[in-house]
Amino acid sequence: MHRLIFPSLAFAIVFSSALAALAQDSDFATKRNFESRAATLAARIDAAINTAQLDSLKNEIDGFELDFQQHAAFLDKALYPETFESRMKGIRELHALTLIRVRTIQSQGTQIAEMEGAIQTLTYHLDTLSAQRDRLFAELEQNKANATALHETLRRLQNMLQAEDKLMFALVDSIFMPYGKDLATISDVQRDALSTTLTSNNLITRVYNIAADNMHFLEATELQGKDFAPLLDHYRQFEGRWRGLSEKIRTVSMAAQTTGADSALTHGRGGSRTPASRLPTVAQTLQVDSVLGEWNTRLRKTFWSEIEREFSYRKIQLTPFSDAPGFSASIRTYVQSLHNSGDDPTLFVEEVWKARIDKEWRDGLTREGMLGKEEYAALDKLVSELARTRIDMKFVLYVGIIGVVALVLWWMLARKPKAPAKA
Amino acid sequence: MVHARLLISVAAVITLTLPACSSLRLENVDFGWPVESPLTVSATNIVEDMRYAVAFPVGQLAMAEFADSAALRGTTLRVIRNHEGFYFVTGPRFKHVYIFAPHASSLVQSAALEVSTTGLTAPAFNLRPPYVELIDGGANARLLTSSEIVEGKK
Repeated sequence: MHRLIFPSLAFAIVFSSALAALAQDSDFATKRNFESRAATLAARIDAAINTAQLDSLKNEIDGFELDFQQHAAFLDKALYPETFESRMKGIRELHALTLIRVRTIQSQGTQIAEMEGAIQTLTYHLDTLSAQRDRLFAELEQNKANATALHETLRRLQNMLQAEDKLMFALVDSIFMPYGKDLATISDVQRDALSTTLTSNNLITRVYNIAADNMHFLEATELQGKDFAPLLDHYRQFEGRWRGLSEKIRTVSMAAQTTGADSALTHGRGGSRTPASRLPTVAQTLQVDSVLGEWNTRLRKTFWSEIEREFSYRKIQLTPFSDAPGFSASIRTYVQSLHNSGDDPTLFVEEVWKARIDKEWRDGLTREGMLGKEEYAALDKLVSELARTRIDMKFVLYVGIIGVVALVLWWMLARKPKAPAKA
Repeated sequence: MVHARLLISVAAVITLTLPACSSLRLENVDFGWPVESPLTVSATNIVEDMRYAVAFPVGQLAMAEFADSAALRGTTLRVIRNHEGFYFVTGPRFKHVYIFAPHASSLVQSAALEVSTTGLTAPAFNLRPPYVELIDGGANARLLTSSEIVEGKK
């Protein structure tokens, strides 16, 4: 066996050297040969997908450098403004960068495998929660007559909905985490894997369903003032998380489209690898945006109409309002009218504002995007001053009465009875 | 006495003005291109080198070599400049290497060296100071100066 290998090897070396010698007769051919081999080597380094390939390519770089070392002085001139050394350095730097990239991809591959398990568990939990949610909605219908049972069902349903979207976004994090922060630069293979995971876990459909459930929840229940603050927080968190997710999807889609366009330009194949087509489409994300918008509108509409009912129920006629500026203007107008008319504000101040608004609705009203803390404090101060004005008048009256009584008593007690006149 | 004074005055004027009239000359300039340029003849019979920023028409060259001013269109000429500044031009099927000296807006033929009786097949130039080496398919290497073949005559 060795007898055959060694002569063949020797022949190959001699033959290739002879070929090289022929090819290098022309300086121009030497330059062209160098440039062509450098370009091929760089392309192969760039396309390497594992460290074994890169190890082999490192040896090839060493061999390539040795082959042209004798022409270094000539190449320094011929490659101007580059030099032989700078070109070799460039190739070695490309190799080092590719090695880092390939190692990162390999480690991400391990993370992806670990996350696959987590994703399956989370998906299972989500499916279980969906079944619970359906049962709770049915229970809600049955318990409408019983206030205590209804309240308990509502509490469980609300907790369930929040747990569901926490799980949902834990699932999102698990899917995206292995790919790091810079989603625009992930490879075609990774993008393909990511889009498959997104599709197979029905991610967008799940987000849509959760948003729709929350909207359904608002329709199916009669909420109290204190119920709104957690609902507003819930919406805000969900909306923020969705914005993050849609941004990620958009980044990956745009990167895929760019790659597709590049591929079409370089290969003229019209971008046959189009993982973008497997990613959630813009239309799907717009649907979620739309249902989220509806959820927000319904939540706010319910909130403001329920507050308005607090006043109208107690025969206080405010200017109609449907948002925070409207509410604020309406309260200010009403306070001003009470102030001008001198009517008794006790009902408004004590029974509605203090007993209901401040006690039940303050948490919701002070949330950002509603009235906010500053505006609520300003309105509260305005209403309190109205009450203080009335208290001051009474206080003066009471003090006056007490003073008069005290004076009369003093006059009666301090006066010494006159001694009866002696007969 | 008067003649003597006149002679001294003239000598002084000449001594002062002559250096101002003589032109500056820089010696030992190296014009050599490290590598030849293969230049394709355009449809308008012009070759243009982007790296060295030189362009010239080749109609008359084609006329001289092939008796047809359009014979070179689409072909690739090999051009190199030696250390003295002469341009060496040849190409496939050429029997000569043409050597030109640069002048104001022109290249003037200084020599045409016969290098083949049947025509070159794949010629290439290498700069080998003080010569220019002509190879043709890896064989028949010849060393050329701006006026003659010094080694490897056929």
